[in-house]
Amino acid sequence: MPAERPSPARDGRRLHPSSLLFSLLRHVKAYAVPALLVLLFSKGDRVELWLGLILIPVMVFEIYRYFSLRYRLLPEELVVTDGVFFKNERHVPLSRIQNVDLVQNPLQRLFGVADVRIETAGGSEPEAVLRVLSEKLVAELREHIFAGRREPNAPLRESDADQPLVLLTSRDILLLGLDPGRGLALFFVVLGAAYEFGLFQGLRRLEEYSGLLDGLPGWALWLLGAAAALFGAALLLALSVSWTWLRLGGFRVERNGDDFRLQSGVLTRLAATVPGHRIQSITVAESLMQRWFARVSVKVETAGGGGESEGDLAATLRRRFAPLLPTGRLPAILDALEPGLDFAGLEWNPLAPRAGRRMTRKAVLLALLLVLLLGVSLGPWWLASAFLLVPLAVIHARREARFSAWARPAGGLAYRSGVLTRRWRYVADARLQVVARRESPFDRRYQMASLCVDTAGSRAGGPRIAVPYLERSMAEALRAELAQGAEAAGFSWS
Amino acid sequence: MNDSPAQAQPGDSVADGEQKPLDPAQVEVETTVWWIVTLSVAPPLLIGLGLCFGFGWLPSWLRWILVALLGALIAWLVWMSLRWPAIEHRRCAYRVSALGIEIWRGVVWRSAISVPRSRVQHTDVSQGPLQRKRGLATLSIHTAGTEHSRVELPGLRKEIALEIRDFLLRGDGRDAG
Repeated sequence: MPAERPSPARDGRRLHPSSLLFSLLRHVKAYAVPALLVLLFSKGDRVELWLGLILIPVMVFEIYRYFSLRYRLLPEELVVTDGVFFKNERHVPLSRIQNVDLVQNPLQRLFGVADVRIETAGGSEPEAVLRVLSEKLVAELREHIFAGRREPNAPLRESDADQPLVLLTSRDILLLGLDPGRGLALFFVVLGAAYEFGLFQGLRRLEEYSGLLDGLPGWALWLLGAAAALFGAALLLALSVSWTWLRLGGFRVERNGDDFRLQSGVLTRLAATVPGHRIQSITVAESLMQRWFARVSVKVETAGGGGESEGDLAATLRRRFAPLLPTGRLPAILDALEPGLDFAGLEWNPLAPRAGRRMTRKAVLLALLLVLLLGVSLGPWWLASAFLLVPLAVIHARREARFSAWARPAGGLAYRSGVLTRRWRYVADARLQVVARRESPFDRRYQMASLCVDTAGSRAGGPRIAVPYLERSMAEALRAELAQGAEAAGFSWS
Repeated sequence: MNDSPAQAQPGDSVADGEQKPLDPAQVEVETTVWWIVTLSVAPPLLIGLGLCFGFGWLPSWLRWILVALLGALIAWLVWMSLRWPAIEHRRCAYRVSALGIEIWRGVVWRSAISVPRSRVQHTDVSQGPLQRKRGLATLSIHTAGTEHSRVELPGLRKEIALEIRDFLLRGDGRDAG
């Protein structure tokens, strides 16, 4: 490269010196797991460990890279120059930056540095990853990037400035950790792992050979079993609570102009931004347990900003906008996300009159299929479970049909569904991409159709609004109305 | 719903807000494709079955099940080649208006899809060899959506496809002149 040419590489800033240490640790970590396996399973012959010498050229490369990577903040853009053999100069306009995510593990916190990931709308990969920068520089960077974003017509409200929008208390974290919807998943993971590692076989063998339990009467065995089960359950719940605490401890959302700033984590700290104008859809969910304690959760889906890649910790955080919230706070949060939106005050329209019958029939068929499976696999006595399962299915389907409804709040579409866990979902007209009416052969028999709307989600399989079992004419009218509303509302990326 | 005179531009004639069928020549294209599939799938299967019979590789009870299955498959393929393209064609339609484009399609699972004009990110007009021979084209409309990030309209006359494309891409503000 000719020296006289002006280049951002000359006057740019370098990463924090400790980034060398962290890249070394990253490589060691990638190497450590195979190395440990080798240590555990090879018999004395540790020749494989010499492979660790690979780290030396890798580190030489990293050191060289450290000296070659510079970043520069200009009034309008961020310029990152890097590359060893192939030089690359990347210009990221500040106005296009959607998220500045931070990930800070305990060691990085000790050094006062953080991983910074800067994302724009396109693609699933962050536009720039700066690891690591000192906390002071990170604050400066964020300030610089977001300073230009605060629109003059959306000033900071006084109430926003000092009070976080969402704040998880330790009681909330306890509730989240104890919620069977989440805890049970963990339970099955642990159960599966225990099975994998042959824990059960081991226990049985212990019981058979030790003769420990031989002298005990039957009731004592039962008591012992019950105590063990209780202990196991308590242990799992404790695990679930501590895991939740590690991930969501200190969770808070603050409003900053149009942006929402999220942070959480006890050991590894995460910080992410949700630009208000990038929110594609809002989902409010309320599990049975949350309903008992008058709590709800709020999730948002933003366009772009990835989520599939390695940085999904921050992306997941962004999606879980409010993991738990007193129900009384919900109107304020919804109003902050979408001014004027209030699920409780909407005029809800039921599904088609015969929807309940169809849902019930489907549920009963599924229940009978399950009964049949049980009978075939476990024995004919299990066929009696039909007396329990079929009524349950009917009750479930009826309640679902009664609760499911759609609404058309000003400039958007809302849909609610669910029985045990209730969900409310909202998409603004301006966020609609494609509106479709769909009919299955069954729909056609009942003159029904479903209405599906598509938004610019960042990931496939994300939440979408699909209102099933509508009167066909209603679905058609809604399709026309929404398409018109979408075109009228216009669409812009930022 | 229709264009106001102030908005009307030359070439907007495609956006007349009328529901139109696809070009009938597309039926021939689809029929050819189905016959190609049928004729490339059926003979090898028949030969395979014949070999099985000839060498007695199969238990006798399985033979007749296989014969029945294969017969059904081939009959289905032949029926599809003869009838399906026409049936499908009857259920396919489109409408272009100032709001955007609507597409109807599907025989068993039917759908009506609206793509507002402002949501069109980019479009492709493509032609397969069979379509090229008949002057047809496939219009693909790409949006920022997730599930419907691409909506296809196969079997338009090429001129019409190009006109629709031009109309859709000439969104508000994108074409000031």
